[in-house]
Amino acid sequence: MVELAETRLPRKQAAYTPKDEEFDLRSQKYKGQQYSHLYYCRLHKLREVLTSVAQQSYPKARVRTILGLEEGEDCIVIGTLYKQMQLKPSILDEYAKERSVIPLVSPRNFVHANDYLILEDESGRIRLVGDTVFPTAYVTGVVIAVYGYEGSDGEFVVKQMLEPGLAPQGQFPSQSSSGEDKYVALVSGLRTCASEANPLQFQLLVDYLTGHLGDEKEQSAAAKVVHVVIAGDSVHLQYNLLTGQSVQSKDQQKLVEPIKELDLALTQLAAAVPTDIMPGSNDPANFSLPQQPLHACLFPGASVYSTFFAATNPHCFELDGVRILGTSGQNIDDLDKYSVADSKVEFMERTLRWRHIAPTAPDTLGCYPYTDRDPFILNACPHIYFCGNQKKYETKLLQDERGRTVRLISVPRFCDTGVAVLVNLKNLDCHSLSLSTDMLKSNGI
Amino acid sequence: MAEAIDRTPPILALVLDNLQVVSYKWLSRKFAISSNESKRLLQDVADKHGDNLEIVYAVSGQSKADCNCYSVKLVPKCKLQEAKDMLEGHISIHIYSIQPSLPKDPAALWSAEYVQSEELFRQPSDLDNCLRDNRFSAVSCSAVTRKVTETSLTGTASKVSAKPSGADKLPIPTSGNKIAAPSRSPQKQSTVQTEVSAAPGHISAQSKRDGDGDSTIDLGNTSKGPGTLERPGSKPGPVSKKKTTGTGDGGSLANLWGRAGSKLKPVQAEAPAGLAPNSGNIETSELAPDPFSDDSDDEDATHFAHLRRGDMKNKSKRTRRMVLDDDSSDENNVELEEENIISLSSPEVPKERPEKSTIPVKNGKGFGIPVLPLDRVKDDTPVIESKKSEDGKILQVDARASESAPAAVNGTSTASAPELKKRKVLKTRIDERGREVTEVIWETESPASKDNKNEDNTSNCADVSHGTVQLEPVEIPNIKLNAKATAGKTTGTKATGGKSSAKISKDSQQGRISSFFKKKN
Repeated sequence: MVELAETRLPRKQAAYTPKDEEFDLRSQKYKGQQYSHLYYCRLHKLREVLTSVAQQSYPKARVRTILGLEEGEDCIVIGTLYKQMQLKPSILDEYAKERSVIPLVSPRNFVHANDYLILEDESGRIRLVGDTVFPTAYVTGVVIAVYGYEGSDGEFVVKQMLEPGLAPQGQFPSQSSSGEDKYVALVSGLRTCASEANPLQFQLLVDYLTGHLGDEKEQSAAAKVVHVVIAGDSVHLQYNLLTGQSVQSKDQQKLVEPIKELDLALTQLAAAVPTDIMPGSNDPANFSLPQQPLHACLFPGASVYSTFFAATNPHCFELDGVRILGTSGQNIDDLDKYSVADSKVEFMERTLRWRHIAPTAPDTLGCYPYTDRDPFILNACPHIYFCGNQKKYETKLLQDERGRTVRLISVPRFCDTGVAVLVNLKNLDCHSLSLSTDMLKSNGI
Repeated sequence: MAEAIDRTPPILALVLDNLQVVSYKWLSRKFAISSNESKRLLQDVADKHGDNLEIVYAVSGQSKADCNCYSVKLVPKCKLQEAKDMLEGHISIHIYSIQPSLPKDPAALWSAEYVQSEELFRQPSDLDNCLRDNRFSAVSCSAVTRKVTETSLTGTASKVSAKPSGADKLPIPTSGNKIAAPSRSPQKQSTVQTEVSAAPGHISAQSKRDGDGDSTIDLGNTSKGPGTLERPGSKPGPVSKKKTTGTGDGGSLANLWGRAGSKLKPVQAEAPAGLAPNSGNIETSELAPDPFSDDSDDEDATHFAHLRRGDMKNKSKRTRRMVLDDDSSDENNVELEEENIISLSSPEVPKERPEKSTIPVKNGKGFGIPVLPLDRVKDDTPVIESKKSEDGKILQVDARASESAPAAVNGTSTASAPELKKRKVLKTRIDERGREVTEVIWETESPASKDNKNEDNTSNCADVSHGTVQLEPVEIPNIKLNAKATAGKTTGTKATGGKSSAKISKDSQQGRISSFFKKKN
């Protein structure tokens, strides 16, 4: 112990404020309600926003309901989009075809050239046509305003589609805070015990973050990491062992092993740096968004630390006043199925502009049937917006005309790429941290 | 560095003789030095003996290919230069591990370290070790605090329960402890009663035991050491725990029952105190594993899982099955010692039961409610309808206890003989879902009724439904009690003249079985 007297670098710290209350389901009581409330709340809430947006753009145009449209008059209609998709899987079709000889084709993406958009409000629905309508960019559930007129055949000819745009953003605090570099580390898709996961790689990450790895310079860099967020899919459970029958004791071992391994790593992490863990689509948490925190019983080792925090799936928090919002990727993955974009970051950007991080819920994305609000509406724009479990690391600094700045990050699956992402809270700079053991492997060949 | 020099040979030995992978982290934990110190140590070793070793370096720096990427690589010595060329700016290089040869799977570098950290992880949760406080890292974090209090409490609790279970392989839910705790008081009371009725010497022994009772380990030892007489009384607190654990095989529910049973048993045991050398042994055997089985890791990690398992078992009725496992050995016993009634709860003292069995059996059988035999009746509230009958029984039991307590094993056994005996019957059937369900059912029998066993099994198979198991236990007590109050209750089928005479009981059983058939038909 005496040797330990050698000076240790103090880790930088940042004030952490979780903002997950929005996503906490404990206050909710399920009484058999359906999803209509959710759509209603969404439309109601975003209508206010869109009305002001539309009136700024077209001060003279009137805002009308769909039933109140008059043919040929330029006006604004606000409503929820429904995207008619011929490839969209329907449970009825699937049932019918399941029984037939022809196998089901399950395309990766359900977008088709014939898709079109329908706008819906409380009074009715109308099909949107026009050159400015790009069905591929939109999905069901998005609330927008359209400027245009009703055509002769009962369609709405759109001259412009208006989105809510970025939500108001809190003051970015960076300059005030002494200009220190502080990093938040984002990682997702650890999938411990998965066949493709490399435990050594993960251990390297843990060693790096906890300040074991590297020389003094590297360790001083590690000391600047003030927070670690594990964004979903942290374990690889063999769900096939859960058959509804009692589980054999040896199988129980197999089931528990990934969680044990994760707990061990989390213990090391939490002992060194504040760590949040979010549930993901394959984690032992509820399926529908918002996913509730992984239970502390899963992590007997890590959960005793004050620095360990089990978060909800859309996870929102503030570090030194920098607002950070992220998901484990389900919302973006679902957008990827029902719309088209060049990159995951572009999907993310759209959700910010729509002011809704999961518009496809509850249509194609599991979601709790809220009755009083829509928790996925963005009332405040984050400074850092990340999305876990993506194929590759992408990032973009999004700036709108009013000076709002958001760092968008698509966090790759760690088990596939060995990449974690470090974001500088001072200036939203972002770089990847790649941990690799490949050169060991290739040596053997 | 002086130390470093000292340590070189053992490191070399580890690598070259044990063919082990020595990574800097492993080394730092092993020798309790900081990570950086450990790296230097490895460097020393490599400098002196590098020719015989394969060295893996950790190389990190800004990637040339992607300026926005900080890259950390593990590379073998032969590729060190290549790796450096891929990086720019400040490059950090240090030895990650040394090993006799490069493993085919890089993950092998990790496994030694993992095993080590697992060991640290398993240590009792209130212990701070280098895994838990990250003390060997070069970066300290003042924000980290471990709230050992609550969690650790649960953790320790789980340990207590888990230890015994560990032996049996089934961990017991934490709740077990709580349950066990209440049991003590009743037991004590019972002891008091027994004292009154029984011999003074016995009492003293008990009191001693009580004192010891709190520490589980002591119990185990004491139970082994002391004669049979003391045993039953002595264990009140701890015994109950252990027993529960032993019972632990079943699901959590079963545990509850088991505990209830266990409580009773000790009490009863006291009464006959001298009775059962066998029982004593058995118990000791049960207890014995406790000290050895140190499952701390399991409990820590899978405390949660345990609970789950319990649930699963309950659902699937696995409890019964588990019991069966134990019983398999018992089955023979059952035949051999027909007299003895074995309670569902556990493979426990066969001899004691016959006498006491009435009460304990009830408990064990499945009333969630712990029925305290003597105490209860006197104290307050027997849960079961059959109170009256119980009272009667209880009286009997007391009498016996008093008789037996003084000394005579024989006396007790004889006393027990006349009474109805409960027998454990295994029934196997295929349920609606096609699963094979084996259930354990207690039946009252006279000793003579051994013959019936087969019949019982077959006959019961037909009807035993999920509910039955529970019902039957209830019935049994009734039957015994019947002597006073013909417990017509639920057990129409079983209702046998619960008279203590062997013959009658026998007849009754048979009659019951046959009646059963009739009903069915």
